[in-house]
Amino acid sequence: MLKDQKMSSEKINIENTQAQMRKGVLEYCILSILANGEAYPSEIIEILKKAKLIVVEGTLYPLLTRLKNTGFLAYRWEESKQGPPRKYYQLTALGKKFLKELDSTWEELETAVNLTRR
Amino acid sequence: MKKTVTVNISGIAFTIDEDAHDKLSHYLNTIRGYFSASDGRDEIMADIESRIAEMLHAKVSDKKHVINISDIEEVIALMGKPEQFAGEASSEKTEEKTSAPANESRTKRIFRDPDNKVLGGVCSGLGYYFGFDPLWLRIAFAVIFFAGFGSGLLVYILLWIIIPKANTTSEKLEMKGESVNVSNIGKAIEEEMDDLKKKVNEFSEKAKNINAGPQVDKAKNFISRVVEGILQLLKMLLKTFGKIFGIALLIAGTVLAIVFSALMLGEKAIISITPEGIHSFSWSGITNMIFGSSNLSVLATIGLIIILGIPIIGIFYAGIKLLFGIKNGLRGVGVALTALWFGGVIVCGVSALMLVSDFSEKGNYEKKIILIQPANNRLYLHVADDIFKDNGHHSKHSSHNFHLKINDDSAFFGNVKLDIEKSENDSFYLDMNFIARGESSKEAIELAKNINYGFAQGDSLINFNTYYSITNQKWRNQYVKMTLKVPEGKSVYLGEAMDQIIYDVRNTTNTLDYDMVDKTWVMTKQGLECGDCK
Repeated sequence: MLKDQKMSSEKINIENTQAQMRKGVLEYCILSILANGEAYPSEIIEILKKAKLIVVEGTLYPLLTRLKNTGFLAYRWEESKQGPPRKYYQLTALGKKFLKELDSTWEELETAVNLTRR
Repeated sequence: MKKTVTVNISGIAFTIDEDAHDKLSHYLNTIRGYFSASDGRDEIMADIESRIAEMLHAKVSDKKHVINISDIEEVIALMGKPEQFAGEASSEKTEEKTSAPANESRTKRIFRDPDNKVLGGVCSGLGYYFGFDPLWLRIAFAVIFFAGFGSGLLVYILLWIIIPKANTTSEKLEMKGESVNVSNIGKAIEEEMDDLKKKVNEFSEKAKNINAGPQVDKAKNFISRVVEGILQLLKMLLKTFGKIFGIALLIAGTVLAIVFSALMLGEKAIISITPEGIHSFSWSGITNMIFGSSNLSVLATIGLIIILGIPIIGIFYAGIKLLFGIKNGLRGVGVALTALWFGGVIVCGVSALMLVSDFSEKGNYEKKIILIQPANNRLYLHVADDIFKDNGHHSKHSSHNFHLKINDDSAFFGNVKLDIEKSENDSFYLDMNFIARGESSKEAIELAKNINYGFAQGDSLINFNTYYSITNQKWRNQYVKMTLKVPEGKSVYLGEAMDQIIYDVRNTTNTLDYDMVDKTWVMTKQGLECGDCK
């Protein structure tokens, strides 16, 4: 969708910009949530919704898989009474390190944005 | 009334209205279409289906057995419309597309691994880069360290300094990335070759296009383009064969380092080949003699190590950088090495200056020896066994003064000269001068006295040694100068080997030293005259 956006319109799509801002932060938020302990996707969605970060469950799964394939996350199966077994995700050592780096990046960005807003 | 279907979602059976089933089926297929296999499509779809099954399971109860279309719509609302997935997926696709070629052309980069280190992570990093267990490399380093006089340690430290540490996670991933092996290097070289061909074609295209434009500019342009083209070519060659250059430099550096350490630390390691044969010494033997085992000796040795060692380090440095394609070295390493090298030069200069002052004073120790007067008024002069003649071959023109042999604590020098002059009285006698240099006159004379030189006289035969020796003494350019005084009317016979010690003996026919031997010389009023020359 982004590609089409770029190709067809020369104007800024407001929703698109907002979506991009949120999207950029989403990985960071997921890692931060998991830093507090393991969780399965629905839990992660709940926390994100409580934090008012609008996201649909669907976007979460590809993202989680990507993070796992890169080696930042690992999961374990747990049987569930409410249906099929669930994947409980947790941060790996590499993931923790990556999170620390994102923390610094976030702080840098925050400072930069605050300065430019003045 | 509606038709129902039984469907298996993530291993759980559901009874579902047919229209609800179609909607769900269509939904899942649309989503599936947005992902490609490389995105982990199967895994993602399994996760999504699992979550859908969970949600549907919550909707089924004793009262309600069948999933209907509004259930599916709720599920879709929660999960997200396919277009919202598309936001995730296609951006992944474009990311994959742009990063894939980069991935393919980018092979692993070398880093030190700080998470798996014994000392500095050098072996771990190398292990990742080449794809083997670091343990073997650690064993190899340990072996080289003990067997190669510690030269392996220097290499390890060099690698430690040069190879960058993998700090960020992206660097760590690069460290572990696609492994470098022969086929990869071949592929990389192929790619460089293709690049090269492209550049050559571009260049020839440009050259053709110079037909437009005035004459002078044409020439200038052409030349500058030719130069540019040649530079590009060299750059390409360097990149392509950089790895090979790198390995060659490393081999050269290793050989030099081993030779160097063996020289410094080993006994009998320095070999000199003279016309008289092969002599061997040890480095510490020589420095002790010249500097007199004191601080000066250590200082000079350190200076020399720095002067010779730093270029070797430089060769290693360049070799490693070329081999692993490390572009930016540590800042200031080049500067530091050069400064250290100049430091070494200064140290050597200082020790040389301090040494010079040790040679400033000259001391002469004289001894007058009354010889046994021969019965028939003729002395027969010969040389004793030549210790420098290892293989029996005697070269008449070799410079005897520079002959040198060192045993454990004694050194033998061939710096012995004999002159023949007229005696002022009736007797044969020998004027011996032992000369040495020193820091002070006192020291110089002491050293002169400690020169050991001998000759043996039996009746009319004298056997001269061709060398003197010093034991546990400093070398301070000692030499022995003897003058044999021959009374007028009496004669000497010079043995064949005497040319080794006679030096500029004046005679009436101005015969050169080496022609004077094997002849008898009579001391006349005018000087030595040949007695049996035909």
